[in-house]
This record gives sequence, C-alpha cells and structure tokens, in this order.
Amino acid sequence: MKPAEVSTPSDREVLVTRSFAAPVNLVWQAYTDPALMRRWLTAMPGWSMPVCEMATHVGGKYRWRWRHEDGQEFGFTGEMLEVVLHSKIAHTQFYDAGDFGGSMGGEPSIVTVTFHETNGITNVATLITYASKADRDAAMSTGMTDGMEMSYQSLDEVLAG
Amino acid sequence: MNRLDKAFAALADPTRRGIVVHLARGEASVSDLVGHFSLTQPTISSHLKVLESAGLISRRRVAQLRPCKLETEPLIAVTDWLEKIQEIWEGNYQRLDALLAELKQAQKEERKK
Repeated sequence: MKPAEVSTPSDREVLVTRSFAAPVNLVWQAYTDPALMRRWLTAMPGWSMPVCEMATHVGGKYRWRWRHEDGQEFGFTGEMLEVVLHSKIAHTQFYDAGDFGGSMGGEPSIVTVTFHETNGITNVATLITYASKADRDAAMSTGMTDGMEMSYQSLDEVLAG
Repeated sequence: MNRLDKAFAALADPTRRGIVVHLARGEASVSDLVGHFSLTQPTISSHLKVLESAGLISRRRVAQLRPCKLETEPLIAVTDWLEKIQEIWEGNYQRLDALLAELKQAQKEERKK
C-alpha cells in the first residue's frame, strides 16, 4: 500500500489518509477492539500502550496511554461524538502530557475517522481539527520534540500539496 | 502569529506555493515571475510580500531589480513537522497492515471449517 499521506487542509486541521488491503469490517475491528488496537497503535519504537479503554458508542469515553521503556508517559482521552458502524467514528481528544511534556492546547481537538471500502481495499481518512490555529501550532511543536533528519526530496511533495 | 504559523498560512495559497517551487530553481525578478505565472505585477508583488513576511523569501537590491531568493529554513521547519507526523502514523499503519493480514487469514480459515 502507498505510505500514509499527511496534509493541512486548513490552518487548524491535519488530514492523514492511507489505504489497507483488507475489507472494512476487519479494519473497523482493528480500530475499535482494544486488544487489537494495542497491537498496532504503539506510535514509536520503544513505546507500549498500557492503557487502552474504548467505548464505541455515542457518549462513550475512551482512554489511551502510552509508556516509553525509560518510564515517560503521555495519553489521550475523550468522548465519542458519532459512531456509524463500518463508516465513521468522531470523538473529542484531550492531550494528557504526563511527564512526556508538550502541549496540544487547552481545548479538545475533534478527530474524525472515516472508512471507505472499494473492492476489498479500505481507505481510512483521519481528520484532526484543533480548536484554534494556536492549538495546532502547540501540537506541532510537541510532535517535533525529537529532531529528525530533514530530507529535501519530500519538499516538492509538500509544496505541491 | 509565530513563525511556523506564518509559513503555513503563506503556503496555503497555490500561487504562492508555485512561486516557492519556481524559486527553488534559482533567484528570479518580479518581471520573471509575472511572465512565468501570467499574473499582473501588483498580484505577484502582494504574494511576494506575504512570502517575505513569513521569512520564506528574501529580496536584495541590485540596481533597479530586487531579485527574490528562497529561504529554506522555515520550509525545513514545516516539512520537518509533516515528516515527523507522517513517520509516526506510517509506523502504526505498517503494524496495522500486518495485523489485518493476520485477521484476513484467520477469517479464511474460519470459513473453511
């Protein structure tokens, strides 16, 4: 499958899209069953997901927490706003910096995940809408905390965005 | 607005992204850009003003000309961030690919029974 594509549709949004070689019912299962979620939502090498509580119904709460080998922790919590089986999950998202640090602003962001299957291939679009531009910028600088090698090759892609 | 914020706002416009891509090939004057994009000089100038205030380009004075030059540092900040996000998500998604392959296999075996 083509690698994930990240874009910024507006100054307070981030959109991530990716296709998976599986029917939507299995992708849905992997996105909503905590035992399965923990197997792939581990974010980065060295991190595990000791807490993964998930209620997949409108008004239901979720709590996700990650822990690094060296003991650092951070998490996300929120509430389900919309749940449409095999099609859409929308929820609020509060960032709990733990001892990892950083900020994603005070107001929750809204995360909307939409699933669309065509011939056994499921496209997943994740739209994160921050409360304000300032919040998105705060999230940005948190995401940038560990530096990485810049590759000029991707410059054109981003600019062509 | 902080610097990254300004850079994102400036790059939200397709013409300004076009100007940035053009300047990636080398310096250009306002009249070069007017010719290349078939836009009026005031339009090009106002786009250049936005890019300049975001720190994405700089302009020096050479006789009557003020050639525009791409400044890569804010672009590195923007792409750095997008790449970092992409790297984290793609890492998760590759684990999800493996998990889905396993679930598909399990479903197939279930059907055989």
